[in-house]
Amino acid sequence: MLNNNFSKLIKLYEKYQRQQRNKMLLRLFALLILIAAGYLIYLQLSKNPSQTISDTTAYNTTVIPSPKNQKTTNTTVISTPPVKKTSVSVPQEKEMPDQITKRTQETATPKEEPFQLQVTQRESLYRMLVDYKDKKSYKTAIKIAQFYLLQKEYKKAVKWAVEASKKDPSQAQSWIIYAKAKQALGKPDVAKRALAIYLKHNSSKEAQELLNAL
Amino acid sequence: MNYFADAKKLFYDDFDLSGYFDSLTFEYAKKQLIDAMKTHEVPLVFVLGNPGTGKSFLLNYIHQKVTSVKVAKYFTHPYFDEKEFLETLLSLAGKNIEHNEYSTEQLISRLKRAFGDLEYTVFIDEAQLLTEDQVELIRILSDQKIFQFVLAMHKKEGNYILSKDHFKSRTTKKIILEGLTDKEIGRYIESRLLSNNFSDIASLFKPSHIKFIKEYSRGNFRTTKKIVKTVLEILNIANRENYKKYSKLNKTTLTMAAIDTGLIDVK
Repeated sequence: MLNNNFSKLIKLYEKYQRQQRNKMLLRLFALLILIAAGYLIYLQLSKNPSQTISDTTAYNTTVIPSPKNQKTTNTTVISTPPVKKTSVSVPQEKEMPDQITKRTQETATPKEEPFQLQVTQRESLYRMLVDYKDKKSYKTAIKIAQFYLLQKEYKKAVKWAVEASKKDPSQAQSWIIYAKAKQALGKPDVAKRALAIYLKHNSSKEAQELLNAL
Repeated sequence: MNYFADAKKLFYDDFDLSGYFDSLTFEYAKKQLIDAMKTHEVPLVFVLGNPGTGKSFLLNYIHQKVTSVKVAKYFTHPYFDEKEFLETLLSLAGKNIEHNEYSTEQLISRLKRAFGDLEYTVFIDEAQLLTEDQVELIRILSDQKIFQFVLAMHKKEGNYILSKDHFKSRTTKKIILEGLTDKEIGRYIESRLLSNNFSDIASLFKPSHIKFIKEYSRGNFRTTKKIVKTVLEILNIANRENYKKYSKLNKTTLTMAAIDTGLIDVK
């Protein structure tokens, strides 16, 4: 005797098969994302080889005026950086130089790459989350809410705005972020109601202006 | 003709001694236990193993098949009142004992007179269920060398009981029953089927199927039997009711067996 009736067992098996297939697809998807991310990083690095010298100030450097570059006063030559931490990527067209030249203002990349910027933001988000876990402060919660609002992750922005308002309901910023996020989520009525409630007990020019604008 | 229905009966979870299988761990445990019983030097022997590894089968096998050792009594469960336990043991000496006829101390001294030098062994299965008082009584009987006790119990609880003050300072022997290897699982299924004239079914089990069974049973003898019994039942129903897709032994039917036995949880 089976524990399940046979047709039910077949259904359970089919369900299990579907679950396994979904798991497999999810893993495959995650793998593809990893590969794509790796490829993107590779592309970024090969476009900006100078960025790989991450921390020139960390080296024990000796500044030697270069006879060739005497005319450019800002140029310094760094001799033999320590082995640890340093990775110098090979330039695409030129051969590997004997010495590593510190970037001058002219040669420096004018703006940060968006991908690196995102990483920095995520890192700071992580720090904020850790900080909030430790201190549970209004200040950190509102920063996180602000971050998510800027990232257009509105549901998370709402969640953190609520969290911040729990810590200090008299602060306008949490209500404003809440209203903005709700509006972005297509719920302007909720946003208006929230601001109205806040303004009933507090006064804030920014909140009033936002309410008028909604 | 559908033979699966008959073949599955070979894998019922019972103590049928015809299902004896000489796995390495079982043979080793059997030898150790018989040696300990013959020498009678260790008053307390613990047979430890996870549920389904064959502890009860081992005790049952020695009780029924091994004539070179003396088993006074095999308690399949330790559900006994201490006095009844002593009275049962004393009645084995051929004495007709009325309940509460003697005090505990009198019963112990009578047991000593009756069994003191005869080197009998008492088997107690599921000994993890013994109460503190029962454990203490067993300790007294074994200390006085009236009986040698073999206590079969789950590994986890057994190690805990062994660490108690009752046994910490005493000479005890620990015999551990482990799980089967995949080769042993294959050999078990094959030998069980072949010896009962199911060679056509035995030939259906391929190494990949054995690997699957090992993976889900983790070498547990009882679970192995459960999976094989269930898969044979699935094949029986599928062949009888013409579910062609499920009428062969393969990963699908084995997975169904694992689902039915609860080894795979489908939420």
